[in-house]
Amino acid sequence: MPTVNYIQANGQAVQAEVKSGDTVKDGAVKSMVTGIMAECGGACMCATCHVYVHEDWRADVGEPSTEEIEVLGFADHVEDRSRLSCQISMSSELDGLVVYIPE
Amino acid sequence: MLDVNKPNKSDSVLEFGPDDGPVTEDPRHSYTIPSRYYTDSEVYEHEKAKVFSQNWWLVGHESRIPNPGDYVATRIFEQPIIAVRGKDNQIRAFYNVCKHRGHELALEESGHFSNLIVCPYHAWAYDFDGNLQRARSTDTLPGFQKCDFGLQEVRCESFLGFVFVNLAPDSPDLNDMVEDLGDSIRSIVPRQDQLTYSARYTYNISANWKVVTDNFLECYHCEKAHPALVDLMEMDTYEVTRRSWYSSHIAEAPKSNETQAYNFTKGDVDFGYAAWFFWPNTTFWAFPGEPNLMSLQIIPNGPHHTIEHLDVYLLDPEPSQQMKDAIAYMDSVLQPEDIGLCESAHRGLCSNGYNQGRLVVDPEKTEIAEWGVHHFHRLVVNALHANESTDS
Repeated sequence: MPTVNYIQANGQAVQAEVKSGDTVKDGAVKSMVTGIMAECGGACMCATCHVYVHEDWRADVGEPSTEEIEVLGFADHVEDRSRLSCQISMSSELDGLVVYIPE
Repeated sequence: MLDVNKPNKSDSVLEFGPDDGPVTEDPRHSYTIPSRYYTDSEVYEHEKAKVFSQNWWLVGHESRIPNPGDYVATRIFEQPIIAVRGKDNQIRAFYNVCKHRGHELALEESGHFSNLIVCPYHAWAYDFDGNLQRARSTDTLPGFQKCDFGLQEVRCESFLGFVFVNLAPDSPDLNDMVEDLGDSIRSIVPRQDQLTYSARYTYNISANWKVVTDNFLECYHCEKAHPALVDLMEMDTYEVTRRSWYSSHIAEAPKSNETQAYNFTKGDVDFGYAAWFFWPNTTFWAFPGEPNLMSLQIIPNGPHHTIEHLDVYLLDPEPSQQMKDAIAYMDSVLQPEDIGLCESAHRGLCSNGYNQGRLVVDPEKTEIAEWGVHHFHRLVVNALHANESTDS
């Protein structure tokens, strides 16, 4: 199963196996990663699953959709590398993905 | 339920019958309000409509919601309300109801919304100004416009950092109704603006909310019922001041700082007892010693029950030893004494052997007079008899 490395705001890393087809948000919620609330349940509605994608992975993860950009507008501290983790679907190509959780 | 065996039955439960004494403008001739005003469920319904839906209701304090997205929630009978701090730092109040299918948005008494107010039911999401921002799969819904489904705003004003809401769009502004109440509180608690929320104490009382309020509004009972409280002030200086919508009850500091209630160091709050009542159900208290203020909200819970929320405000949320002693006295001595009095008086008001009493108002003895109760009873009667033509 592919793994994701979640670097929490306090610097502590959580490594989790995330099934292909599940989202990066799903893995964070299952592993109780601090800072991923996913209040809307993963529907691209609330921007509480905001992550920064590690520079090396940005091309593989891809760019957010127009809708996602709109929702990211409600989050704090948004950067170019910002994504909503509920909109990143896991696959074997993303095995080893590194994401950072904003403060 | 109106007890038909009671001698004062009249067509309208609010109307004063031949067996009722008047609640006159002059307190020396006034009776207390009739007992059915305390016990009858029809009167209670009138109060919901004419008192609590028309006046300012305390929701919380600005210090409880310092950051954007922080909220406090309350319930004015069937009306759930939230007050939220916006990204522009303004506090706005809304009905705590999602415009989709009616689910409540905030489920806790206080908390924090991260980026948006997300309904726990279908995740409709509103910004802190109440605008609907996200509603999943509505893009193709014929005629659907998010701007038609914003949260319904409620009037919200602050007074000394306390956040109030009002369900009536056309009732007077809070800052007009408080008159010089702010000056009075500041004169006793000079550092009031530096106080922050510390803790909430909640009491469930088997008595009508007006029994609880009456009890707050006079110290005629203090010498008999509160020996330690009397030790905390100079009873001879106890003074009641009445304005249109509030009354104050203030006595000077005791001669000794070592009292039966608790020992204190002479501090900013240099007096004995200070309490304020703001119509219809908000009261404030301060205890002698270091800076402190308590808000006590008297919440009706049916004709025969009341909930009191007593919130403590201090310079630091963690109380000092002196404030711990003051709070312990309030919580374990003073409140149980008062609750016992109120519950017994309420049982008496339910009996067939009582309808009305007379108010004791000796102008020479303000410390043992019931001016404050009379002031409150006049407000109750005036509110319940307002706009009678609209009653049915």
